Amino acid sequence: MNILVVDDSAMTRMVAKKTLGTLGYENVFEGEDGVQALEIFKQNSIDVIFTDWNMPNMNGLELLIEIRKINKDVPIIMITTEGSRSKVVEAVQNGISDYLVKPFTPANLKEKLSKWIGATV
Amino acid sequence: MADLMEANLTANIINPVLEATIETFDIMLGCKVTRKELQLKTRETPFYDITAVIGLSGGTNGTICLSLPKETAFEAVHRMIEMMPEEIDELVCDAVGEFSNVVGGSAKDKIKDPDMHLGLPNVIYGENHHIEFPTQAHPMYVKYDSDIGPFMVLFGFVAG
Repeated sequence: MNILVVDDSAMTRMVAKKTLGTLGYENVFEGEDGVQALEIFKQNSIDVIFTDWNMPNMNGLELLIEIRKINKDVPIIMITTEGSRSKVVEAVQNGISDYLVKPFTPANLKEKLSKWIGATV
Repeated sequence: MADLMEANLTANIINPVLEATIETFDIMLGCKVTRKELQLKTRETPFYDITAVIGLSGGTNGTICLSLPKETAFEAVHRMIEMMPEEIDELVCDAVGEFSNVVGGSAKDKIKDPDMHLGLPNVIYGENHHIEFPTQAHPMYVKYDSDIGPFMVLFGFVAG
C-alpha cells in the first residue's frame, strides 16, 4: 500500500506519516506542493492520496484536476480546515473522493483509509 | 456608537475563537487547557517567544494571534512527532503556524460568516516582538494554562 501525503506543512506531513505508521502503513510518500506530488504520482504506484488545499505552486484543487486527467480511480482525500468546507463542493465537482477535516485524530484517518482501501480492492 | 458596534463585533467572535483553540489543542496534542479571564490588550501587553498571526478578511476583517513561550512550543512539537527541539527552528515555526491555521479555520466555521476569508499564517519570533491590530479594533487576549505550558490567544476585528 503506497500512500501519498501532500501538505506544505512539514509538521503535518510528519504527523500524518507517523500516524499512518502506527496504523501499519509504512510506504508513505511526501509532497510539499502539488507540483512535487504530481511528479511522485507519475513515478510511483500510489494507492491513496491525502492532500491539503492551500499550497504554493500548485494547490490541492489543481493537483486533483491534473491527477484526474491521468487517473480517474485513485482515491484522493482532501485534508482541510473547517473553514474551507465550502471548497469541498468545488472539489467534489472535480472528482475528489472524500475529505478529512483538521484537526483530525488517528481514528479519523483510519476510518478514511478503511473506507477507500476497501473501495479500491 | 461606533465603539460599541466594534466591541460587539469582537464579542461575537470571542467564543468561536476560544472554543476552536481548546478543541485544536485537545485533538492535535491531547492537551487539556484551562482558560483564564478575557482581557483588553494594550501596546504594553507582551507577546510570548513565538507568535503565529493569521488574518481574516471579508465580511469581517481582523487578526488572530497564537503566542507561545518557546518551551510550550517545543513540548507541542515533541507531542506531535516525539522529537524535542532545542531552538526555534523551521519545524517549530511550521508547527505553530499550523496550530494557528487550524484554530483560525475552526473559528471561521463557527463564526458562520460565508464572506469571511482565512489567510495563511505568518510566524514571528524573538524577544519583545509586537504585532499591531487593525485600527479601530479592540484587541483582546486570553491566557491559557495547559499541561504543556502556558500560551495565549489574541484577537481583534472590525467590520469589513
